Order: sequence, then C-alpha cells, then structure tokens
Amino acid sequence: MDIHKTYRPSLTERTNWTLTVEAIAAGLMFLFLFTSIDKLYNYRQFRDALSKSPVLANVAGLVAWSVPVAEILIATALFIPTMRKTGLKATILLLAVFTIYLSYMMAFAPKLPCMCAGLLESLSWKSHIIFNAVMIVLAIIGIVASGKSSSAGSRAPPT
Amino acid sequence: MKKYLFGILAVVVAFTGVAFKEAKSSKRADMYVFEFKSSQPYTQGNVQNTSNAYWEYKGLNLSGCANINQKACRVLVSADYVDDPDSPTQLSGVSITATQSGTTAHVTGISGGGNLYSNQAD
Repeated sequence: MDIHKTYRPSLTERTNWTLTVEAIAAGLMFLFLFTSIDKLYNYRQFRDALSKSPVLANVAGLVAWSVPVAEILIATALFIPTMRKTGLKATILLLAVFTIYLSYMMAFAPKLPCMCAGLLESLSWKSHIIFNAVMIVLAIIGIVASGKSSSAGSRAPPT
Repeated sequence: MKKYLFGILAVVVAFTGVAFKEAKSSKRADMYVFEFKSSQPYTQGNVQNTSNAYWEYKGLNLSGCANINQKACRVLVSADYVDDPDSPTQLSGVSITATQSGTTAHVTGISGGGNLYSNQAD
C-alpha cells in the first residue's frame, strides 16, 4: 500500500484554498483602498460629516484621518502574504467596530444620513450593516482558508 | 510575483475606481452650504431671514443634517443664490420658509430649482 499517495498534500486542494484567500484579500484590499483614498481626497467633507454625528462630533478630526490610515495599513497587510492573516483579523476588528457604531446610530438616531464614502454612499444604514456582516464573514472564511492552505502543504504522513 | 497578482489588480482597480468617481462628481454643479447659527434663537423669523447674521457659509458640497424636522440646520444652494460664488459670505436671491414647532422653527421650503434644505433634532 502506498501510504504516501494517501497522505500526500493535495496540490489542487492547496491551490483552491490559496486562491480563496487571495481572492478574499484582494476584494477587501480593493474595498479599503477605494474608501480610504476617497475619504482622504474628500477629507473636509468626511470630517464635516463626522462632526454632525452625535457620537463622533468631539473626535471628528482624529477619526477623519485615523480611519483612512487604518484602512491603508490593513490593505497593506492584506497585500503581503506573510501578514495576510493579521490583515484579515484587523479587517474583522475594524468592521465590527464600524458595525457597532452603525447599530448604535440606528437605534438612537435612525434618520441620520449615511456618512460613508466611496462605493457605499448610496447604501442605507441597514444595508450597510448587512454589507459589513458579509465582509466579516468573508474575512473569517479567509482566515479559515489561510489555515487550510498552509496546513495542506505541511501535513506529515503517519509513522 | 504570481502571489501578488490579485493584490496588484485590486490596487489598480481601486485607484481607477476613485479616479472615475471623482471625474463623475466634478461634473456635478457645486452646492454652497449655509448653516443656521446655533447662537441665534431658532424662531420662525430668524430662520426665514437669509442674512449672514443667521445663516453662515460653511463650505462647498458638504452633507446635509439629520433631517429630523425639529429645528433648522443647513441649506444647500447653487452658485446663482450666493452673493459671490468665488468668495461667498451670504445667501442671495433665495427665500426660506419655516414653521415654528414649540420653541424652535425648522425649514419647510426653499426657493430656487435644485436648492435643498435639511433640519436637525432639537
């Protein structure tokens, strides 16, 4: 019996997981780069919109530059294969914070306009929360796929 | 190089997307944003007064307010309705109608095609 054949890492399986991670990371990179560049390009409008938020009014200046900077750092982490898993975890953290903020605003100021930038400015607050949830799920899938893609190549045959 | 392919593609698409978006939005006419001075009493008369003692210029293409019809917040007007489009200081040739509800007044109408208004929570 050829045990090596049974336990040899499946190249197809590994490639599929790797492709999954790369595709998810690229999608999230696009999202973060697009929204961060848009926020920086329209910095004054973004800061002004934040200053109208009852929660962020006092820290609008800080949030207005720290959010796009954080997004660029996460996009950079997602670009570098060795840092991709960290980037995916940071994605979940950032989107979770944003989702909590949106939920709070929906609960206490349901008629506030969307203050997001870029692709998503036409989304309602509810749609934005759903969009964030989908992105969080994708990032989780990315982390799982990242683990599978590295373990598929390092599985040792039984002794 | 191959493992960076998706990432490079994402960077290119993101920059292209922003460039397209900005090109599209630059074709839109600028809107001049004025805000009712919070230091002034929110009475119907004051809100309807378009002088810069009540409505101060805040900037170009800023967002509106919460749109909760409790007290006046911002009006967005085109270049035809400011005193000097290059250096605006006050509204010009526009009339604002307001309704008093309790102790505060909110905007209920603004003249001029395309001009907008938004109110805020008290």
